Amino acid sequence: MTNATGTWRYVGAPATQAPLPWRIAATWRHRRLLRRMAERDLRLRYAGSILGLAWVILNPLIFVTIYTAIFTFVFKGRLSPQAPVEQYALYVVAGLLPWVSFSEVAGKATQAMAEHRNLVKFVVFPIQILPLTSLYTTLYSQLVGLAALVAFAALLRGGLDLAVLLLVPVLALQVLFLAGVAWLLGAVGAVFRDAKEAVSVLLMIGMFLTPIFYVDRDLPARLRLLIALNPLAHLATLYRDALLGGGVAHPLSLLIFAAVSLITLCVGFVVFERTRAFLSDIL
Amino acid sequence: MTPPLALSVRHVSKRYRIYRRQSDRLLEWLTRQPRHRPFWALRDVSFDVARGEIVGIIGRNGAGKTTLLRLLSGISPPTAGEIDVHYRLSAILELGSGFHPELSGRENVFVGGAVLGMDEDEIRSKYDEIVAFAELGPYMELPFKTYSLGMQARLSFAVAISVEPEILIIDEALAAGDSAFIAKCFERIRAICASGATVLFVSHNTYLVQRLCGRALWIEHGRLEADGDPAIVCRDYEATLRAQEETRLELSNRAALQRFSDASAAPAAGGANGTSAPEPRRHVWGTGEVRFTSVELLDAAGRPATTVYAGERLTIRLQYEAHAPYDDLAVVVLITRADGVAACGLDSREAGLPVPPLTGAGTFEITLDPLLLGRGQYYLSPHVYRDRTGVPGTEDVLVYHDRLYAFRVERRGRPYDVAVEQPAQWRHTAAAISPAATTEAG
Repeated sequence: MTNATGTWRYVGAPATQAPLPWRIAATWRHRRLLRRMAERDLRLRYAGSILGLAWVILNPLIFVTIYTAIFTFVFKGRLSPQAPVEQYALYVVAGLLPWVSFSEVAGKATQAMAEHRNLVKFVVFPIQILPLTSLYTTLYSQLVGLAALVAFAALLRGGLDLAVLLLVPVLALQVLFLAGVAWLLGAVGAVFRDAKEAVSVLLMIGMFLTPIFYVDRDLPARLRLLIALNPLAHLATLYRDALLGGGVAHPLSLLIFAAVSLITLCVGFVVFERTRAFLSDIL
Repeated sequence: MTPPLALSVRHVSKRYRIYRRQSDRLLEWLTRQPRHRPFWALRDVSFDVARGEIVGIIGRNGAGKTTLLRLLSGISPPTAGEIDVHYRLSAILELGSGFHPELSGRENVFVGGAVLGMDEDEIRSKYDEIVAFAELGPYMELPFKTYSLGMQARLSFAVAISVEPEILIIDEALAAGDSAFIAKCFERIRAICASGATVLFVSHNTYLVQRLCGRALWIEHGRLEADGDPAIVCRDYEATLRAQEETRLELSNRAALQRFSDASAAPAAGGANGTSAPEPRRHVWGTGEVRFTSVELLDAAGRPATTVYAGERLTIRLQYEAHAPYDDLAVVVLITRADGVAACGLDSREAGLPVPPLTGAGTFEITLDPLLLGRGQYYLSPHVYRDRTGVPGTEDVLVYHDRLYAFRVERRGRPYDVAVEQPAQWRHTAAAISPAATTEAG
């Protein structure tokens, strides 16, 4: 969309462009600024409230507790006729947690550039971190929620096994995936104002295409194919394998999610990089 | 040895695309058919800035100043041309970036500082200095929204100025804040420059530019109109503004006159004047029979000065060379305040000085003792007339220097900004005075 032939450069800076992984990794330099911006967002969200930042912890705790309790004591679903009730509760929450993180990041990243319009237009600022602030704040609550969920799993199943360690690589992949989503939607949301509405509609549809409350093997084959294309479904599967004691029961899911994460990360970053040149002119 | 370059701008242009609708942007991208109107915000601008220079950038709203700064700071890419930046650069195109009304002053310092590129430790080490500069010690824990506008401006500027860049770009940042704070900011900016940094400062306010900058750039319709001594550039810029204002008034007067005198006339008659022709830039005019060779202000001690003090003696010395063998000459010096108000006119006829026919060189000295003008910036417009008819307004102008000479009146004692320093005698009596003692009109 831009055909600028003019140049702006720091004299002495290396003119050749670093390869893509290096460029993505360079974002790490801005981690402290990213933390500042994320903490600012959190403070703003709870500014004026009595409990203040305590809500950052309370929110996911209450969320996970209520869902686990409701599906253990009220709805009493079962994954199979012989399966214990608490297994379904863990199944639902383990699927819900990564979905909530994803939809939060997607929703906020779409608006990140417009929200920080002034920083984009008038300040020499590493704007690539703006979509990432939502990832940062979401990870806080996701980690708190996950800790609570691990505790409930240990409580309900009477102990944990080594499968929980699967969460470490899964979380790492999830961060890369969400970063790619954040950059992609950050760029798209800045260029098209309609993206905000479109994303919220897509999230609603996506929620039903992700096996959170239901089990995908109960579905007709054609729908199962659709769900197999949904990276969030694989992410949910990996969470469940870790928490319900399956271990690496679905290596294909791990492989697919790893590939999707890396591709999303690179595509998101490149799209954002291409867009940023003219972002300050169109916002 | 010439000082090293800080910035180099070569043939830089910037085109914006104006879309009537948002959907046109998408359609253009999909169909590859242009659906925008190009707008050239900058065209072929070139200049260099040496290290340690303070450069003022003036121009009207929409002339391209902010676009230029955004290009220089790398925020927006140039459409054509090259910009080389040689040192670490910090740009304040907007005060209070990252600041939020709900956060406390303290939190805003940290967020704002981080936004401007400082790291955590750097901000922590400068925190006390920032608070002291902003003079907001007791208020730092309160939400930013509880601050007055002046306090907000002070804190924002204090944070911005605490960055120690090698190139500092400031856009209209000094507009807020009281005059004492502005003076403090100036001092700080000068200190930054003295340490070898380069400053680019954008303002509408030519007075600020003249006070602060060693060089001025004038951007007009996206082009670099002038580049040089701030006094000269600002004078030319103001002259253009005045000429345009005059043209505008003239046109509106003419239109009013036409409407009034001949409502039935064809509307096409006035249409030709609608387009604004290039404005004449006139500072000096007249027949040329008199030429001012020097115009000087002498202070109370008789030394040439550009800053003089109210209540003291001021002498205006006009030296001329002339071939004007007329016996009806009059010399007038008009003093205009910076805001355009005519402060006083000094007329040789009013003063009862008969001006002889002027041939060859000579000097007029006009002494104002005491000077009654209030604190501020003034311009001198000396001129010589032939007053053939004695009827005011029909004089022939031999020479007219329009507001060519600027000077400043300062005040000893309190810095009151007043129009006139009216001398007064005070008397106090520790008793009531009966009404009979005062004169009464009725």
